[in-house]
Amino acid sequence: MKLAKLLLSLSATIALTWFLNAPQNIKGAPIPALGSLFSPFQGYWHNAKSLDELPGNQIAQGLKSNVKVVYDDRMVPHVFAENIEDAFFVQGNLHAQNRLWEMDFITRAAGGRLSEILGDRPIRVGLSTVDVDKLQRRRGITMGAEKTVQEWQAEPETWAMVNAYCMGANSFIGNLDPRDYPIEYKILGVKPELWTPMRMSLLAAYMAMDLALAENDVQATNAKTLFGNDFDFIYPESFPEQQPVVPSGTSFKAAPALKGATSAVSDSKINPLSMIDFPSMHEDLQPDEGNGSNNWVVGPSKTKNKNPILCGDPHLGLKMPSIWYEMQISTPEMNAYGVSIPGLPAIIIGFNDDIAWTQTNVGHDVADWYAMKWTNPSRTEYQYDGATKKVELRVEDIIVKGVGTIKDTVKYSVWGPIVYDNDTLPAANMAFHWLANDVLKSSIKSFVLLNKAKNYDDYAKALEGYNVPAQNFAFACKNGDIALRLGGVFPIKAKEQGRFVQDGSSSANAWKGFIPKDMNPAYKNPARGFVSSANQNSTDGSYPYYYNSENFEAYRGRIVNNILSKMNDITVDSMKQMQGNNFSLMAQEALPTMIKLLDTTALTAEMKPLFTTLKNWDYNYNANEVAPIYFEEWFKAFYSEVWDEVLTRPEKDRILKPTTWRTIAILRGDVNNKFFDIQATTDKKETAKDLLGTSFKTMAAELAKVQAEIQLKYPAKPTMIWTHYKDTEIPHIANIPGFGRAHIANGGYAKSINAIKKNHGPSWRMIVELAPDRPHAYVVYPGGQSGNPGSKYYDQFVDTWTKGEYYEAIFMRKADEKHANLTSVQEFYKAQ
Amino acid sequence: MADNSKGKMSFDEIQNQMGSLKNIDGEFGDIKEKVLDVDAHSAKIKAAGKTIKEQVMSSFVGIASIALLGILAQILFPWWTIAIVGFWVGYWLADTPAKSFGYGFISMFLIWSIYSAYQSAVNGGLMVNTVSGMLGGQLSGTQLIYATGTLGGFVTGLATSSGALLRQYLKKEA
Repeated sequence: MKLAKLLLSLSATIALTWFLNAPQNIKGAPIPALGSLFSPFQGYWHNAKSLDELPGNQIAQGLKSNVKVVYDDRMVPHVFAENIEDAFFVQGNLHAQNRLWEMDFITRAAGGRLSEILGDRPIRVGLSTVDVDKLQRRRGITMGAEKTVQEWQAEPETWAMVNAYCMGANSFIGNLDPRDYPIEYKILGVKPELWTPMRMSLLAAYMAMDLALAENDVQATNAKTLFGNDFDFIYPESFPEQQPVVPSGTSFKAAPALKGATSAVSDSKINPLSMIDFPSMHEDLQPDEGNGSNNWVVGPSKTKNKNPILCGDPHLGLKMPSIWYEMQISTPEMNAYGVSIPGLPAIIIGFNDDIAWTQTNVGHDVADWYAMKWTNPSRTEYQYDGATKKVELRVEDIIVKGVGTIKDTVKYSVWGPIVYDNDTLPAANMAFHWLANDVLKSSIKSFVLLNKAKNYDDYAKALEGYNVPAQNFAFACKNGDIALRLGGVFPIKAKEQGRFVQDGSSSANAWKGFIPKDMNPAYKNPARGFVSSANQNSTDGSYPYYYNSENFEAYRGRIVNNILSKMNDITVDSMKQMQGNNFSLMAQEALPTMIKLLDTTALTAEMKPLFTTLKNWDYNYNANEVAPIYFEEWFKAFYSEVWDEVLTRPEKDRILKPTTWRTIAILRGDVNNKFFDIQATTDKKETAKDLLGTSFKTMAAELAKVQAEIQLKYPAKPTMIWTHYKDTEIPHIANIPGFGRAHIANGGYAKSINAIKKNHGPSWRMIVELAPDRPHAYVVYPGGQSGNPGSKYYDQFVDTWTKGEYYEAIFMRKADEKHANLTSVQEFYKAQ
Repeated sequence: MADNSKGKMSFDEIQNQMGSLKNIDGEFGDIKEKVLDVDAHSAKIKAAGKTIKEQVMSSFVGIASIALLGILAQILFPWWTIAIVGFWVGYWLADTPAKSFGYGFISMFLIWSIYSAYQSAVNGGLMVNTVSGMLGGQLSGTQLIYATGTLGGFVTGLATSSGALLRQYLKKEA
């Protein structure tokens, strides 16, 4: 009896302790190791750092000399090093100190290693972590990343910087006590890994995926199959009102002749008999359409103080922690301030004593699909230029937590990997050719040269080595020069090449090489006194090379140009206001016509106030207005009625959606256009007028649903206002509930300068006035310097960002400089 | 015949020998109990004779020793060493399993909840609110502190009473 009691009690103790010490999975719900997680000696309580804890001094193996880090009251580090390698060593250490989980998680995701930390878990119905990991490998990400590392290695200067950065990061990671692991590791029960050049390369690949992977080849091909001769009418590649990045009238050099290449592309427009069916994950895993940004620089002629002012706000997915880490890096050769990407060296967007620079995404389509002519059932051989060629095989090991290693064989053709290699959707067995897999991705050297640049020539030279993702680099120099240049490598394409799925059996469909870098669109000191870009098309038709994208922005660029061309005596304050501008040019172009055409006699008493509100609206997507909700809902309903040809089809997700701009242009140009006819009603031919009437009714009916959703999200005050409808949030990077910020009140939307969407928008706002004495910079980003949710620096800037306010950056010149807001010093001593 | 010179005979064994006395149970009942199990008897006297002060003292020794050794173990080793500490202290104290559970539970409940409350206080409650958010807001910060204490207390309590049970079991075997 006593033995039984003892055994019972003992086994209960052991079982409970074991259960609490390891992550569990109960009916598919992952449960963290509760004992270690709740232990105040090693669990999350241990991550609850004291509010006034400051980073301590360190002795670091691998430093050439001592490095001093001065922190200001926002925990922005100002690094003072004797040489650039030491500076990057400490940058690596600071990134790891503050953002280890973020660096680790992004690179694991990029390298197809999510299931290693999350196990085989569904992300949504029909898509698991293992699927996503496989897709990453099959896109050639790991193969391309290995290539980039080799290329870094071949450049001694770059390799030294890469290594210094890794050593610095590892001087933190390698000495980290498991008790001090960031909380995410404790929740998931995983360990951090040392930082390596490969992981840096994967991080660069992640940025390239986010910014240079947008393509619509299958969707465009299907749209062409569907619409035939009407395709060009519905989907024009450019439109007359557009104001390209490089303004019309800028003259371009003639393109040098291509060696041995013909301009013709054989069979570039494949017209398959049936629609190409693609795995639905293809749409899921496309980069956000709203990836974009604004930048502009006003020259001395337009500013009050006669100094150039540079403004930039890159729009990215909003995440906690932020993709940016703010800092200053000072060495005898350079002194740059701005934002860096945790995991990579140098300042990516910023300024120094002489110049300032900021990027927007170029967005040309540099990812193409090739339909293969397979010659055997197992699809290992294909036709190419009349001969049979074998695919090369690369085996990828995918480690799945709790399961083991899955081996996945990826087939590589001459074009690139066969991404959706499968038996069920034969048409999807295409080859994928992505620029970022061909060329060096993160041009670390380019950023270092930009950090050091003192004038226009230095800036132009820095961009010569820059490849992917292509960016519009806006530039200002304190001598008054302003400029904008496309940094990036671009393939030479025949007209419409890469817009559709191409025939993979002929080498004639290959890119014809790369556009020489000195032919990249650029302009300097234009007569209008400003340069700008906002993801619109790069040039007008006079540029000698073809490029394409279905996602060029139609409105923000024009809004920026319209405002700036009318503005004079510009100050930092007027630029702050402009970055927060919620005006919608789209609404201004669409709504008056919609109102004019609407048959108001058919409106019920409930609908009339909606109509009046819309009529009185000034087209600003302000946080507390209701009109933007009515307009969004009305336009959405109208659009889906206009394009019933696409949206009522079962394969609608695999067909290119006509642009908003084109839809409005057709509405304004031809109310009787045949596309306004609803296909389902064969007895009647509808016009735009009919559709506007029915869609207005749909909108009015939808409002009850909208109100119910707002009621759910804002039970305390469920007012029908734009910010409640939009409901901006900043989710945690691994979507851990409670670790993000929800219900953020703000105005703006995708098509206004202040492009804050639900969880996407200005990831950094910067305004720099390059005065003769020193740069005056105003900055903010939606996040905070620390990646620890238990730190007051985790989300410190979110409210400031929400309100459209800025911090004045403290640009230091000497380590011992005095400033009221400098709070502490962290010394890195070199090991003796 | 079992050796009962040291008073270590079990009740059953004695009862068998004294089968003949069954009928005069009434008269000899008290004596029988006293004679037959000297250990139990002395323990009973001891407990009865314990002043409140002594009882508090022994509880204090139990709780404090688990707490001190527990803190030390958790500073040096992973959290689950509290189970080992609890187990050995439970064995060493040789108290009843129920009381031992109490010592272990109270001890680690206090350590875990006070230490977590302290860390949370210097942190301004930022972390505890985040974790509360992670759990869907079902537990408040204060409740999380209690939950933490209960978790540590329960593991240690179980271990301590296991230690006490082992002691009882070995005592019987010897």
